[in-house]
Amino acid sequence: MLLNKLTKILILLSVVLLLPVAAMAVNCFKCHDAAEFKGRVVHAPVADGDCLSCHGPHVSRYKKLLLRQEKDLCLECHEQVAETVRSKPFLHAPVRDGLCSSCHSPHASEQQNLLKKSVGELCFECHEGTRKKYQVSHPPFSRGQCNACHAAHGGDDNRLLKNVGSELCFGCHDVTKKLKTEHLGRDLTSMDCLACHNPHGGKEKSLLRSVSHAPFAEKNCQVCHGGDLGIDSCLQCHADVLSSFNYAHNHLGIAGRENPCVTCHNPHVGDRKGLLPENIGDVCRDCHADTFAQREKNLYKHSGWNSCSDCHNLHGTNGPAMLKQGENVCDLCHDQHKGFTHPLGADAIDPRNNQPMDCLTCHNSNTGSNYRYFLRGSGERGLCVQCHQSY
Amino acid sequence: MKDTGMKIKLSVKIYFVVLVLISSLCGSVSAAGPWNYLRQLPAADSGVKITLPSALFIDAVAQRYYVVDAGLGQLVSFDKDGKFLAAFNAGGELKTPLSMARTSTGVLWVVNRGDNKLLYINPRQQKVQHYQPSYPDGTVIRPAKVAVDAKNRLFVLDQRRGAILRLDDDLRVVRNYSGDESFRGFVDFKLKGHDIWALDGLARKIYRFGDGNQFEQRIALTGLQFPVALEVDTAGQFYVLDRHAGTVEVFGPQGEKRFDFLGKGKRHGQLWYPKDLLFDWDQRLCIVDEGNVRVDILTR
Repeated sequence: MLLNKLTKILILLSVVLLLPVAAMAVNCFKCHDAAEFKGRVVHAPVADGDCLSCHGPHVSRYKKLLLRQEKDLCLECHEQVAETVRSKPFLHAPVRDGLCSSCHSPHASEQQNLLKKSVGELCFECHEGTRKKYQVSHPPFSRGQCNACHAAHGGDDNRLLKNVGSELCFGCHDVTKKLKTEHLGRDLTSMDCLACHNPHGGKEKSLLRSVSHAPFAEKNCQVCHGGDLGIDSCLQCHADVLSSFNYAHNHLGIAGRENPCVTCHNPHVGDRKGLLPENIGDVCRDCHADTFAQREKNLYKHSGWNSCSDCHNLHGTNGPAMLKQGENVCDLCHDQHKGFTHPLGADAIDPRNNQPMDCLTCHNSNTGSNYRYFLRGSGERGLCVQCHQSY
Repeated sequence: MKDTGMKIKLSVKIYFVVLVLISSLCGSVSAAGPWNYLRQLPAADSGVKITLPSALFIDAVAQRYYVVDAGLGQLVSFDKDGKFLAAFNAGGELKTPLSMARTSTGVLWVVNRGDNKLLYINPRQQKVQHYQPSYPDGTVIRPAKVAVDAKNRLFVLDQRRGAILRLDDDLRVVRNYSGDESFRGFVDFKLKGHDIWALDGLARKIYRFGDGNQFEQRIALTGLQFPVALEVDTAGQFYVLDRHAGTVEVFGPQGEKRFDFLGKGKRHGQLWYPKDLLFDWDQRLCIVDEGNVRVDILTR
């Protein structure tokens, strides 16, 4: 008798407690079209009708009535991604900025991992420059399987590669006798395949980068490898280049006892003239990691900031920062600005150091800043008062 | 009575010993006070023009400063109070000078980047000679910095191999100082007594060399953005100039970070692409600030 009564009370209590939850899910879909929350893949809370695990029903400080900021909310459950954010030195920009929904649909999707589009389509939306046609394409690239090689959230490498050096490639490619012979019997596991091979595509099956050093193309290895591999091996043909380093600031002393030329130039193949990679920033980053790290933190950056050679003379100049045309570097693209900008040069002396002003006095086009036009302070006041104190 | 007298005498002695200890402690504390701006070279109102200060040489005996101006190709001297003395261009032979040293006999050695030569300048004889020293294997040395020790021995930093070289009177290499397997090339060095202290900027390491070719001490540094110059104070602390951060970072003798000062900017007490730092005869810190086109002198 007593047991029966107790059972009834428990059932009643359960109904009282669970009814509102069920009712809430139902309530949401009274206004929000349930069809929009259906797909091949459905986010678990949506499938459970548990809208309130992410949204507040009445008010919220965050858009879409989210309970917390987007990234905090997502990382609460997605611990593996949270661990990546905590531990990896390089994060994909949307991950770093906490914009999970820029790639993922939070409710349902036809794609795996709730992606908004297929992997390739999604990646190429932002990485437009990478969408290229090659005579021969690497199959994962042509299939749009970017995630075969790249980690979408973060990695130990600025390219977000899933593995370092040849380990990435040998995840799919076998170290065959033929491959070893083609590489002159060298230990392939210690080589950096990507230095010579373009992982997206190329002119031929080997996917070698498109511009070859003449002795390499002619298989005339002895031209360079016949003796010491120091800088003299380069200067024997490129002696005239040496004078381009005769400046107060130059890049000659960057390799200790080793050949400084090959610190930046690949002696075999490259993506562009000068045997440099297409993404020249990758070369500069090796020594100037601090500049890249600062830049990544800032909100406003100069466009094309990864193309360092647009503004810097990479062999040498006399002025600080090895800028092309020194303080007039901006004239290369923005010459018309002189007509309407703040006075510059000898007519405008910076009172802080008694030196002529230039564009870089106010704009930090190198690392960017958190102010519009990468100004060095707020353009409304903070920047100007540094010189105009009565402003 | 005698015991009481003895006790008073002992107490007085202890009091004085404690007093001396406390006063010496206070003295050392005040000596380690904050760095303050003293003056700049050239003074803002001096009318002296320089455009690209690349190095500073300090003549501790004559108490003079020599600013090397790579931009206008001149050596500009100032007295101990910062008063302009003279500007010297060696008859127009200085082309992008980067570094200078002066022997006790008054001879100047200058690194001339314009032609990558080492200039021997004897002001008394009005004589300038250009030298191209080389390694025993014939490889041409590309001087980046030059220094002379108390015995007037010549030391050159070779940018081509990143090594510090001691040259004899015939400019032959007699010593070659280089780093470990991760060596990226020295960017600065200072001579202190019998020791050479050298900074490998990209590898973020300080080396100390004694009499032999091999380094005797190697200290790894952390927390630096772009170190370009090094000084060592009398207490064995390292002062490292961070060009990108615009700071002076101070490390203990084992490389432990102690403190940093200054910052990036254009006012006094701020640095904009600084290039070199060194102590003068009174242990004042002199910083060659390329971007602000001045040498700041700081004192404690």
